[in-house]
This record gives sequence, structure tokens and C-alpha cells, in this order.
Amino acid sequence: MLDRGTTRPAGCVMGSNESALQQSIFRDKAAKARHMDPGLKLTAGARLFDVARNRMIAGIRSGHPDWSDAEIDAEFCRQLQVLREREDRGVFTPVADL
Amino acid sequence: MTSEQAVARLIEALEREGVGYMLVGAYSSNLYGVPRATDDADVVIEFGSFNIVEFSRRLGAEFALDRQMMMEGFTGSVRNIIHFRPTGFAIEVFRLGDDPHHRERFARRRRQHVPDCRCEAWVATAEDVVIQKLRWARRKDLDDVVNLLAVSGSTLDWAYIRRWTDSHGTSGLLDQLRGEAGVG
Repeated sequence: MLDRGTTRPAGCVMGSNESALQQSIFRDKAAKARHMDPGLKLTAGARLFDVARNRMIAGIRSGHPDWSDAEIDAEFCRQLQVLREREDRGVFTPVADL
Repeated sequence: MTSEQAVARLIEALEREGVGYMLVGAYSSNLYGVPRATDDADVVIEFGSFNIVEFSRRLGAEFALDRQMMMEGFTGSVRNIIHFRPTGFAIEVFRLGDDPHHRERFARRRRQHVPDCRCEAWVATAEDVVIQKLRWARRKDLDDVVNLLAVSGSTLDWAYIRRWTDSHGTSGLLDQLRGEAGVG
């Protein structure tokens, strides 16, 4: 039941050992979060975004070693836009379309 | 400039200009739950005489306003996006509208110290984060609620949350997520 915030793929059937481990990891994450500095927690989202961005860019560069920095940046922006459009679907509508 | 510094610049500018605002979305759920990466900072602004075109220009050349306005379907909130060009991070600016919960959420907002910022920021309360995310109920919103409940569940004003979830028809979902978070 409890699969939030872990790396378990959706729909994966787990045994009781895996489930117990998963719940233990979840409780540990929650306990750590309770003791973090609130200010640092507030700003963590953007900090972690930059870390993820650097990894995504490294991945694109590794797949396309012949691409320029501008081409790699454009591909990163394209992938980010795809993710954003998927999140917005069914929630946001362009005002001009109403 | 990093994405984190871009948000600090946004907050400092809002404070300097005396605009009524509050941080919502993942920024607020990270504060009360388990921090995760987010590609945007959501901010609700009391528009009044606020001019987003001029404001965006004053943030600096690294910021670019997308003039396309979007409307959120559940509450009718109108959104503009300010892009931070160097990293692709987005600042989603929502106009404070007439939705009754949004009005009360704005009235209950609180101050929070922000590192690397010469000021404190206005942030939605934990209860209002839960109520709003249950309305949107995307997969990531529900994950955020479970994490928030697991971290901060013992300190929440449950009567306040229940009043709004009953009104929104989301109390059943709340009970399910409380079970997942282990909050009795």
C-alpha cells in the first residue's frame, strides 16, 4: 500500500520483505525531514532541480557527443517542455482558447 | 545565477515592492514534507495594481515573461509563467481570485526565513497545502500529501482541513492518504 516517494515502479507486486523495507525507508525519510532546517527545505526544490538538470544534460551529451552546448540546451528545454505539458494536461487551458 | 538564487531574487523583489503574495505548490509542500526537486516555484499574487510585465522586466534580463495566460480548471485561477532562462526553471504566477478556500488560504499565510535572502517569505500553511493538493490530485500532488502527513501530520489543524475537504468532496481521498502515511 505504502509506495509514495520510493523508487518502486507502479504496479510492481512486492513481497512482505520488500514492503517492510519500503515502509522502513519511508519512515526514515520522514524522520530525517522532520529534523531538517525549514529554510533549507523551502528552497530545496530549486536546488534539486539544478542537480537533476545537470544530470539530464550529461545524459544528453553522452548520447550526442557531437552536439554543441546550444543543441544540448535546446534538447533539455524540449524534454522539460514535454514534461510540463503532460502535467498541465487536463488542469490548465490557454485563456485564449476559452 | 542558480535557480535557487532566481527564486530569492523574486522574493526580494516582491517584498521590496510591497506586493501581497505567498509561495504555494511544491515550495510549500517541501517545507512541511519530504523535499523533492521541482521545475517551478508557484506564487499567488494579489494583483490589484500589480503589473506583471513591468515586474518581470525589473527582475532582470535573465527572466522572460510568457504572456500566454492559462486558466486552472478546478478553481478558475489564472496563471502566467516567468521563465528563468539560464536553467529553464519556471516561476508560475497565479492571480489571487475569488475561490473561497484560496481567500482563506491567503489570509492564513505565514512567514518563513529563506536562506540567501535578505528577508522572510510568505508561505501557505501546511493545512492549506494539503487541502489544495487534494483538489488537484495529480499523482505528484498525492505523493506530496502523503509525505507531508508523514512528516507533519501530528501538528495539523484537522478540523480546519476536514471543513474544506468536506466542502470540496475530497474527504474520502484524505482518509485514504492518511492511512498510507500512517496517520491515525
